[in-house]
Amino acid sequence: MNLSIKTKLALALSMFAALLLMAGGWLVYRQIKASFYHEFDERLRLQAMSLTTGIKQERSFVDVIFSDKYLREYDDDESRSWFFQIWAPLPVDDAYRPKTMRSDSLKKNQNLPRRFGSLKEPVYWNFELPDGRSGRGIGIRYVPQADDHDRRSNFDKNLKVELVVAQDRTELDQSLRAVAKNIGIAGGVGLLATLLFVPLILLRFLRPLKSVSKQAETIDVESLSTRFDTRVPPEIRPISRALNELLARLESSFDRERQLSSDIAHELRTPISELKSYAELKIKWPDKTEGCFEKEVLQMVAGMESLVENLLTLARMEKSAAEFEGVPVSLTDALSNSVDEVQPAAAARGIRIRNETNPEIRIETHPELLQIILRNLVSNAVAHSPSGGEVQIGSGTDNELLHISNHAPDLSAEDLPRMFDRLWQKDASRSNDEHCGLGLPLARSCARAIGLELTAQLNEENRLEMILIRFSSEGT
Amino acid sequence: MRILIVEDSTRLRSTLSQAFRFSSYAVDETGDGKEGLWMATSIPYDVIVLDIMLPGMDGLTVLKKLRESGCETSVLLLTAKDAVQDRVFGLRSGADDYLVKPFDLEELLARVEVLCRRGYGKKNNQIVIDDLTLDLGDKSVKRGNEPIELTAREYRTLEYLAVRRGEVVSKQEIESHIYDDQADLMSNVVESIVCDLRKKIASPGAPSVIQTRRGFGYTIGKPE
Repeated sequence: MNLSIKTKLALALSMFAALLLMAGGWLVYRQIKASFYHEFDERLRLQAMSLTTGIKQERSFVDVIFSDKYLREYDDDESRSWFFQIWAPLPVDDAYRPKTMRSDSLKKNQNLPRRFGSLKEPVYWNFELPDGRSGRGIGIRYVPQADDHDRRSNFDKNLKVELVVAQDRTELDQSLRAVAKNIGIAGGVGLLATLLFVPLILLRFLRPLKSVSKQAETIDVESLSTRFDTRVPPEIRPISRALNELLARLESSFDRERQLSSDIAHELRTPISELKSYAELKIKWPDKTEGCFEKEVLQMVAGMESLVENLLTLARMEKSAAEFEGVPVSLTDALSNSVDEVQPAAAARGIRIRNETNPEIRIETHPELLQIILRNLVSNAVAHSPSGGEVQIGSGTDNELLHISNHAPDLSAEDLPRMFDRLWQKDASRSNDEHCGLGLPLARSCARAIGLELTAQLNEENRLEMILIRFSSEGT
Repeated sequence: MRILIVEDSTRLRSTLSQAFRFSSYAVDETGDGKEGLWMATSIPYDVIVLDIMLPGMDGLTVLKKLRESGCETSVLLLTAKDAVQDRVFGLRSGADDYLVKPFDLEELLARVEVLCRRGYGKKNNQIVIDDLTLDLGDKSVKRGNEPIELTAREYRTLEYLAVRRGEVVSKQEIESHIYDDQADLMSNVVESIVCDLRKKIASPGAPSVIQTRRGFGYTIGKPE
């Protein structure tokens, strides 16, 4: 059974309240009971003490002299609730010396149970009275004082008197039961109130959570700009903030996807126009047009394919944060792959590639992304260098990781900011299918993804320098 | 008619140039905005087909500068931007027409033809001079029902004179409207063409519809 948090909370709180009420009630009952018993025991003690005042040593015996006033409570009447019994050598006729003296409330053959403590620490205990009622008694064993005129000469310190005083505790038990009942009723009412009000209170205070939930239900792809109110209770604020951050990431991601789709659609319009117009030209004037139709079409399609692939790669690069695990990479080794790839094209146009990078430079980075950057920079430099020119590759000092330069007679300073725009090209020729204007934006996005920066500048000789910068001397 | 194509895609530019040439237009072309502006302000084109995304200078800036210079040549904007606001902006910037890529080649040819015609105040696709009928749409000439075969230059010359019927058109004007920068001109090329044209369109026993205004140029027909 999948219970809601509210229900679970309500049950848990109710159970806790119940336990708390039970524990509290039990503690209160214990306290009251202890108080009642203390009072009861005090009465027992006072009775016992008053009885001990009438018990004296006289020669080898114990003389008990109680006034009627003391014994009235121990009378044998309907309400008899007090009892006492004394065990001691008591004086009677020489022929017989009984060792126990009972109160009138006890019959001749009725005895109280015997347990004794000292005068200072008497024993109290519950027991059944001889008539079957519940009782409680105090037991003392002590040495009675000697009669005044016998005090010095006849005091026997070994002469012990054992005294038990008991009282009917029916009323005490009834009182305690009444207390227990009242505590139980109060606890029950408390529990009911808990069961009733806890869900209502939870409902009231969980309302902001429900509000967040309802708002979340209304969010779809078209409403990703929605943001949750952060002026909510502190417990919900982190949820609202986290949801807002998630929405921002989703919105950004969807915007990028839309932008990518839009870019692809937009940028494919011209290649599609090329293909379509060429086909229509061939159809309308089949005998007049020159060139191999199939070859031209294949080239155009290859260009479109390259364009889409690069746009997709660019989108992926722009999307990913720098969450990668850097591995040590030799800059020279990474460069040599890119240089080897363009060597044939460079040689065909008489372009020299001079590589003077420091072979000891190693950086902790993403090897594939670094390769994309270097491949784009090197191939761009060779492609845009005039024939017979020179592409120079070197490593700089401090933060300058790498620079690649080529002569760029057609470039001006105004072109530099636009170089990293998607699909910008200085060369008016779009028929170069390998260079569709995405290389530098791609290289820059890759650079930023791995904590580097790519910049461009023109020097006095109109050489375009592409500079790869790292932000700490320890690399990425 | 002579048109200018300013489009940075070499392949597309080449295709369009061929299509217009095959349709009897004189065509100049460039892939750079700045060069396009210079050409447009230097040569009296009948229509300019102008891409928006251009290196050097974007098409809308070219258009704006063209209009600021007083040039009223018809401009058809060719672009991948299809949003309404882009089209409205382009038209309000001074363009006469707007075509979104990818487009039908036939549609482009038709729209340019209309712009050429409107440039001379013509709403009708056909021009009738005596018993000669020029169909500006299919670039054909008939005398009565008989088609007359003309070369591309002959047709362009006749078409240009016809759209300016009643006006005296100078030799230079004819040259600038029927030749593109690929043409290798001889000094008497216009006279040669007019001579050939007269022979082909001549009606037996009737004077030539093309008349020479010595020292000024040529004229055809009477003003409408």
